[in-house]
Amino acid sequence: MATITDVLERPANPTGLWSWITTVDHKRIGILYGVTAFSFFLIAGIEAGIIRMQLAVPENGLVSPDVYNQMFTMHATAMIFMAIMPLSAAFFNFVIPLAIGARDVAFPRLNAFSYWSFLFGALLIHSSFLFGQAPDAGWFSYAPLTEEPYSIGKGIDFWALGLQVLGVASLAAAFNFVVTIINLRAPGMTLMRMPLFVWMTLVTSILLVLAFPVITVGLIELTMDRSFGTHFFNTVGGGDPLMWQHLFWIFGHPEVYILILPAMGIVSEVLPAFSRKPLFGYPVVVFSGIVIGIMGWAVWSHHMFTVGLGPVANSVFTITTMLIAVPTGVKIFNWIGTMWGGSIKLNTAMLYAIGFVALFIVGGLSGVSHAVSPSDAQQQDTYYIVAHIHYVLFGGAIFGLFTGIYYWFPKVTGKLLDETLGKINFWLLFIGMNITFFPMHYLGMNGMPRRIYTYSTEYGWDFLNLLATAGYFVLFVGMLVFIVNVILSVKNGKESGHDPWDAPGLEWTISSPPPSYNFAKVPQVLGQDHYWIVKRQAEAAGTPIMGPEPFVDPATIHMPNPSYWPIVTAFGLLLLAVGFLIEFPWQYLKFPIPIIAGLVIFTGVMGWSFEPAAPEEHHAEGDHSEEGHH
Amino acid sequence: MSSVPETQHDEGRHPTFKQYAFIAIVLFVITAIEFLIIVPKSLQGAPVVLAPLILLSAVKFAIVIMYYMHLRFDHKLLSIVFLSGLVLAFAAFSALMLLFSSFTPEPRAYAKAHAVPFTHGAEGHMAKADESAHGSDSGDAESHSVEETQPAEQTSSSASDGMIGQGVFTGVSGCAGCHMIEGVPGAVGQLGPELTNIGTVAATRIAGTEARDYIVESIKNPTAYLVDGYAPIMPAGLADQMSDDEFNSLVDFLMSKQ
Amino acid sequence: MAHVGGQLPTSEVDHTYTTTGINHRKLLMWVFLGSDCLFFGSLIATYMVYRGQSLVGPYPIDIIDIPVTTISTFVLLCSSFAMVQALAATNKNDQKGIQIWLFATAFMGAIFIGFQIYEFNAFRLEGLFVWTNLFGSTFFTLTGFHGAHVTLGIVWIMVLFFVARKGKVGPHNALDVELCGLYWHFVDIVWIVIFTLLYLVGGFDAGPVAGVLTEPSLLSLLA
Repeated sequence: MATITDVLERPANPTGLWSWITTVDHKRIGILYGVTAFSFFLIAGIEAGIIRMQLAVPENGLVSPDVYNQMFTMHATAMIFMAIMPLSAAFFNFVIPLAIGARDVAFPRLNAFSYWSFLFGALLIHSSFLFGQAPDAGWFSYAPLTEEPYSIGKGIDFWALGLQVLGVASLAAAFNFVVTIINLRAPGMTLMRMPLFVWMTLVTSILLVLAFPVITVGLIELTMDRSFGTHFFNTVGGGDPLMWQHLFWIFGHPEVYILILPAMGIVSEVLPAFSRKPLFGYPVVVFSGIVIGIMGWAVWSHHMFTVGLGPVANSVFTITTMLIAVPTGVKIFNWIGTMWGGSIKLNTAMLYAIGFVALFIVGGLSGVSHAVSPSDAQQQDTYYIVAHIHYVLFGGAIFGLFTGIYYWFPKVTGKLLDETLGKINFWLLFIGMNITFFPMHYLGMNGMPRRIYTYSTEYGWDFLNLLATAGYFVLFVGMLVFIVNVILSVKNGKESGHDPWDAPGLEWTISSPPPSYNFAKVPQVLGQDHYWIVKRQAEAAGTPIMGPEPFVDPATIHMPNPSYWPIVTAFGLLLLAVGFLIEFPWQYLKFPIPIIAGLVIFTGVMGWSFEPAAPEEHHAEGDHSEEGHH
Repeated sequence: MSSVPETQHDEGRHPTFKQYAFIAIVLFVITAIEFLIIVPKSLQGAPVVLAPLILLSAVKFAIVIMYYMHLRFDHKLLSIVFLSGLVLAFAAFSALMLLFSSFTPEPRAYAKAHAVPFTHGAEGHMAKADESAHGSDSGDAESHSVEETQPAEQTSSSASDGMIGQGVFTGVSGCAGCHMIEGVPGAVGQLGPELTNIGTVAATRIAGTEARDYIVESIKNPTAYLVDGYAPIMPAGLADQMSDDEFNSLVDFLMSKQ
Repeated sequence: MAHVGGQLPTSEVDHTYTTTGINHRKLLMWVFLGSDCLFFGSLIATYMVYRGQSLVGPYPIDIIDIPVTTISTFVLLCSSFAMVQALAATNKNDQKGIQIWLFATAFMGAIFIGFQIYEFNAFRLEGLFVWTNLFGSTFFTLTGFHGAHVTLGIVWIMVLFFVARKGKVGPHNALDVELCGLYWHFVDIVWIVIFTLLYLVGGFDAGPVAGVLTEPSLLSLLA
């Protein structure tokens, strides 16, 4: 299709903002994900602050109940889908190709498309605030609360359609990483020589591609109930609200493993690096991760123990849920075994990694108590669950991600994060986290329900709520310290060199930050912990490795070229979602928008498929037509 | 990157045209057998044909995957990748059906109590009144046992108007979720006043206000005429969600509830 | 085609290197199809869970037309055969064959869609809309999304057809035809499942008729 390629030539050497918009470089996309995700993390943190301040004292009226509902809904939705998942994606993007010895991911433009779809979806959901109609039915939006007539207005539609866009972003990224990890490993890197973070990313990506279609269907059916008068989830037409719960949690439970496995992978790399010892029981840790991924599909109704599934169903899910604690426990023992007898270096990254293990144990223990359905009947929908969630997601996922930040920041920027500020940051978060969330175990056992707007003093919850709110401020200060650390270190941080930690991964063999082409020569991998092997051999031979792989002229290396089409296609997707949301007085005015959106997507995909591989390439007659480089 | 032809030829022989044609014929024959299985009246919807039908379609499924999609001759990894999705889908959704006891299409309690028979034809979609009440729950505590005899009364002057109006009432606007009307399937809500006889009641509520005006105002401005004992939670703006025709049909429908 | 060496000079890096020897896009397509199983599986599960739970008619037995749908099923199966021939023609560099078979596939796909439109319309005239009852909701959603998949497939095939008209499809990019074929065959096998469950099995579901819930009838054999 010569005409299409002529219309918009592939960008040649874009600079500045344009270079970021058209980038297909995994390192830049990783940075984009990281900065965007962290911004939404802070926004969700403010929402948490509003929740805590509303609950600080009984009978409080800081915000209205409606706003409060929006706060807890958006806090959770943003934290899960727009903070933790994309922060994990930031690491997938930046680290994975480096860790497997590749020059980029398998589908660089699809990678860019994932990022832009994520950004647009996140902006779409947050734009609901501008209309005063943020979603307010909780992050799992149970039917029939989410249906008319109980949820009039656009909030739930923002939630459903925004999540669909975010789902496309996650799916696209997951497809990319499955193919990248399977198909782009450097020679010698067999599956059982892959770094743990790469393994966990593979399992996570497989979970993503299998779980997201289920919630896609749930969201479609919810949207149809709300917009087309169907009754999938309300009894008025014979439907069943439980169907929503099942569809949601069949997705939702694998989703929580999607949230935690990347963090576990990061910790599984950092603990060995700073124990100066290989990971204890590498194959066992790998298989535990795989087993968790598989078993995670068999436990979903433990979120539904109190809806009346009956003793048989409850017993089955109790057993499966208790069983899944086993591989998780195995990992913990392996992490402890890694540190045991090691030469521990207690820098900030290591502190976060150890903190992860400690806090995840607490969260895991409360999780096991939920597994038993009779005790869960007491705990369900109380603050005991909120405590569990935050120990595993804050103490677990977030601490794991911070481990990764402190560990890989030098690789991304070439500078070290300040250790003093880092330790202050760690201790503030660690102490603050415990002050905020440990009391919630007691509050839950004393009967404080989730999501309540306020409470009466006669219940005796006052002190612990106030304590939890005080803990929030400790966390707040801790985050400020972190932000200051990042800003100062980016500007004036100590030069890190290519390998500040004497670490085992391939990513440390090249400069910090890496050259645009990553590896000048495709590595030949010698074993697990390849770089340790190389360095120790070199030292033994009397020729220690002093610097990164030597640079070569980037012009001699063919790299994927930038492209407009990913952001164009992502924009079409956004337009499609907007078309479903937008209200015009005359309803027929809104139909053109989805149609235009469809055309934009079609154009985007066509341009993507037919654009030449490089800006200066022109098609001569009879030349083959590339259907597309992905 | 474009394909490298060697990879395809390395993966095994390609079936010939004859072989592909043979496979196509096999698929057609199996489909024909499936059709023939359900011709006899006694086998239609019978549990005994379930296994053969599923087996036959599984065979077709497998043939297309293995031969047309070439999976039999391709790298094992592709089979693993696809089968993981397939097996998981099958397992998760069998579990779901087990949880809902859906392995037979027996209506569950709510459908048993409320489902209404269907007839083709110009009278529309309401059951004829003299269709015998379906047997299951004659002594049901819920006061819906009479609803089968009601539908005939709903075929007002213009049967199709009644249909549209009732459709609006039970549809996306959600009226049925809050307002009960005897004889209207799904109109079971008790958050708002019962509207079984609203056509007559509306005339009596406010002195000097006609029934139709009362109904129109109550929808457009829900807090105008509050009813004791019910919270003022009816949403405003419901009338804006529908066209004028739909609104008028809705009001006609409600007016017909004498 | 894995390459053996470790340290290659940069100018000789193999652009088609893959660890497994499987082309990236082919692997991607199969992962995508595995994922799509979950998508259609959820829609089918919704249908299966809600069988028999509709409160008003039309019920399946009243309007499902198995003979007509059997014909459209044959057409779709035929189109898969045509697609396979298109790929074979591509591998043999039979330019005319490529165009004929691609067009035939798309054409038969369009006929299938035509049957779907006819059926949706017939149902509409009997009063079955997506909001009428659970049968309508689940039926139209499931077959609607399947039809959307078919339509996207037709668009894809026609794009390939127009590229082939320019002589730019051949053994060197047979993968592009193969990938389209994989998608098309998948859409066909999803229909096999839908046809069995919604028509051959579920097509006889009846609402309450004189107290007997699954009374068979000859209605389904009449148009």
